Amino acid sequence: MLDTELKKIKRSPIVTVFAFLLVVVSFGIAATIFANQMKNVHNLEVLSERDYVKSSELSSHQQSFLEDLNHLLKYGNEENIKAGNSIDKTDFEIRKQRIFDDWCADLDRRMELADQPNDDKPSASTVESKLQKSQVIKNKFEQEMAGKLADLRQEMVDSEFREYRSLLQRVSNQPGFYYYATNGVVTYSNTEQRDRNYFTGFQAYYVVDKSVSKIYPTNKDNTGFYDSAFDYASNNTIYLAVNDEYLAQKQEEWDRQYEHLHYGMRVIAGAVLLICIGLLYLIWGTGRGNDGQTIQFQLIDRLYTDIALFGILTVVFSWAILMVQLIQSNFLDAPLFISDFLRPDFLSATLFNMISCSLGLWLLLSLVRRLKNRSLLKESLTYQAVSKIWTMIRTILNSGPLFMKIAAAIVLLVASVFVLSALMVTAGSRLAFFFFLVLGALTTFAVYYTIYVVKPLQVIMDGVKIIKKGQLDHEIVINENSLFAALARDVNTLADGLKRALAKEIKAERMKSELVTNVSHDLKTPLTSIINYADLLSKENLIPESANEYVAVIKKKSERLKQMTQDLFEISRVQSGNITMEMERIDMAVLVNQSLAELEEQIEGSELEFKVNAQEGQALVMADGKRLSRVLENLIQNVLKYALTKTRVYLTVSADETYVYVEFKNIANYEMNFHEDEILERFVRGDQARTTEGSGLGLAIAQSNIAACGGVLKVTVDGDLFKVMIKMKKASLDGDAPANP
Amino acid sequence: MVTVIQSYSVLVVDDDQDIVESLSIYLRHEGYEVLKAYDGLQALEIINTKPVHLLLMDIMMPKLDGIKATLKIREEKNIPIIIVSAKSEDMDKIHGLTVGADDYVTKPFNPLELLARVKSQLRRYTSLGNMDQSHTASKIIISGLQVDPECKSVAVDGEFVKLTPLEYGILELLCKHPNRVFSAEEIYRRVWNGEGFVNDNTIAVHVRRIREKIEINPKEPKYLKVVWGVGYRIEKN
Repeated sequence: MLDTELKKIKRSPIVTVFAFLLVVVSFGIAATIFANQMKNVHNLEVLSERDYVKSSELSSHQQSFLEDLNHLLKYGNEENIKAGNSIDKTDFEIRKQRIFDDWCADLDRRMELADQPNDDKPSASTVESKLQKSQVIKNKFEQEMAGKLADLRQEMVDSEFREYRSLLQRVSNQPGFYYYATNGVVTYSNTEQRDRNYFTGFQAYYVVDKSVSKIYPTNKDNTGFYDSAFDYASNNTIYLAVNDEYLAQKQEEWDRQYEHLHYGMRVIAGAVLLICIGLLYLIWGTGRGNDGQTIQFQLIDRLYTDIALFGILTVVFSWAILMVQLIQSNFLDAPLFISDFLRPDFLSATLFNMISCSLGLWLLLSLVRRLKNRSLLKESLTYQAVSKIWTMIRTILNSGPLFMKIAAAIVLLVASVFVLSALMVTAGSRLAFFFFLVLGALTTFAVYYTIYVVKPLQVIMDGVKIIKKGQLDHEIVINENSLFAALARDVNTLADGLKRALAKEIKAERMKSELVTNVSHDLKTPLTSIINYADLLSKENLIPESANEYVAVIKKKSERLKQMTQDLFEISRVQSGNITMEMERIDMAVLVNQSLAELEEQIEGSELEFKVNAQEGQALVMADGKRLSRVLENLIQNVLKYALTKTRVYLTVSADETYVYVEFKNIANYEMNFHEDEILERFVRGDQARTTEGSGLGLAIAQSNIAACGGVLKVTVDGDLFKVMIKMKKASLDGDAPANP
Repeated sequence: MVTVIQSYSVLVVDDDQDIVESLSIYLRHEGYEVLKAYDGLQALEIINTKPVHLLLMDIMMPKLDGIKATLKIREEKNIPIIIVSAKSEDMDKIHGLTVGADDYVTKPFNPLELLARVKSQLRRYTSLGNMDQSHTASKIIISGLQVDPECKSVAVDGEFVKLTPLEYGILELLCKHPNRVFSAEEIYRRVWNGEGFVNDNTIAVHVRRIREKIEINPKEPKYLKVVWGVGYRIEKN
């Protein structure tokens, strides 16, 4: 409980605001103080050396003054400079040479223009004449350019003179030194004293003459400095000493600087500590919701990361530039203390720093929140742009139509080749070889990639071939990232669907077959009893008399029921293909005669005239004889039932090169008001015939059986002419007569 | 020449009581003694305890089906078994006959046909086995069919059948060459002695008439088979 309370307080908005202000205010003060320090503390040596006399600042001050004096001695006096004695000879020669070179070049150009008409002149020249010639040229140069050389000399003297003047000014205007410098010719001094001991009597001095070179107080850090810093002529004598009032004044300033630096450092350190604490808290707490888990966002977080980052950099840079400007100006000259916070310069500088800090911190915390949410990269403009381009490329490569991809690949390849070729042409021979290598690598890659891409297609083609052959459970397996992955998936789905449909059909067919078998059995058992008892009853003499007639009807109808059951069963079996066929070579004419013989008595008894034309030995077919005999029996019975009495029935067996035909033609004894195809459907018959005997399946059974034997049965109705045509493929005549065992 | 003087007992096995009852009535009418069983196990029990001369056996029955019961019975006895089943496919028939049944009748059956088959089986089982071998020397015997070329007579299961001379000629020709298929033309040549064969169904009609005389069910002949589209033959196992 206490812990959560504490946490709540820690994350309350007031604390956050306080932390934010703490950081901003601390930063503002620290930065202002720092700027003030930069202006007021000139040398950090105040921290290590409290005594100004011993400081290296004083030593270097002495040193530079000594150098100045030495320089003065070197220049001598104004007459000496004007005489040109102080000019650096080497420098002069160099500059003279430069003028000579220019003159020579000019001369050559002039000579060329002049010499062009007569070419024979240079041919006479020899090495000797060349030497003579150069001497001549030099003399000529001295003559021609004398004025210019004098100018050069004067220019250099003037420059020396200006330098001498400024040096003299500096030396004579300095406040803290007593000095005496002489080289025997000229003397510079601001004191009457010429005695070395007078100078060495001061707290800080520097004496250089023939016998001694001594600086006091000696600073161990820059001993080397004196040996090599300047060359001074051996007859120079330079004495200098720092005057005590100057020293005391300097010491006072030195102490003040120390105080100020010390104070500033403490303030800055404290501020940095506070900044650290506040910053840590802000970083820890920013974006956390009340549950301490979810990251909450502010409006600024919608800014792209890189823009926010750019914003931070802008703030930091502009702040830094303004700060440098501030330091360089004399805006914050006076030393600052915290208690001076009401001073306008302090206040304005602090305010400026605070505003900069607020802006920067605000943006920084936004970045921190993104970092916490792991969306730092994702929300950057760069990332989004790159990812968008990448997505576009991928879209083109992956989801577009195939020809788009191929076109893109070709364009890319051709473009690369063009660029590389252009580079090869423009580049040097050595680089051209490198580009040649790159081109070779690119070509190799293109060939490899093409093979890599096309390979799955081959796999798919092979797979489809396998599936086509009937192996429906074959699965085409290719890389998911391949161009043809979708095609492979589709083919697999297709094969799957086909497999399922096939399995379903097989199952349905089997179920149908089983159903027929079961129903048939369940029908047959009671039918057996009905037939048996009807038969038994018909043998009894029943009272009343009419009962005998009733029994006769039952018996007749039960027989019909039996016939229908058998027919139904048979057609179901034949049509479901659930039968075994015993194919053998059969003479259709023989079969027709045999079938007619089977029904001979009925034919004789009918009032029909059968005109049979069945020439044996021509119409051979491959078929199941028993089934064909059922067909013919059904057809003949059909004729017996439905042919008009006292008409002729034509039965013809014929054959051509490839087919065997059996044709039945008769005149119907009723009006055939049905469609030719309907008659072959199960149970379809002419209405008038419905009440007569038969199952109505005769033609359907015939057709199914013919189909099972590979033939075609066709019914044609032409007015009252009813025609059935069986067409079967003719069997070859090879082998012995089938009659032989 | 044998007549039924003894009362044979027939065991009817079927799980449908009405069918058993109706069959009993038919069989008793014909003078047989009838025993009844309603599943395969009961049938086996009765066979072991009482004299049975013939079985009418259903296939689909509880406890022990007809096929298994037939197999069990055939382990010890060779009494005739006629399977009476609603299973009518060729494969079922072949299966039934293979396991040892002597005949196969499909439901719904013609009662008269069934009785004829019972009679036939009993005759073969009881009398034919005892027939004097000497008489058989010149005879052609194909199962229950006897053709005597000397007397030009034909008997089926011991009963003489009247045939016309042409019919007899055809039957004799076929019986002399059992299992050989004769075409109509060949039969005509051999029996009519080769006078101009007329291409019609004369021979076929003759053969059908023979079948009607010697077969119990001419539609499903046992001896004289029609080879559809080819010719005819006598079947001998």
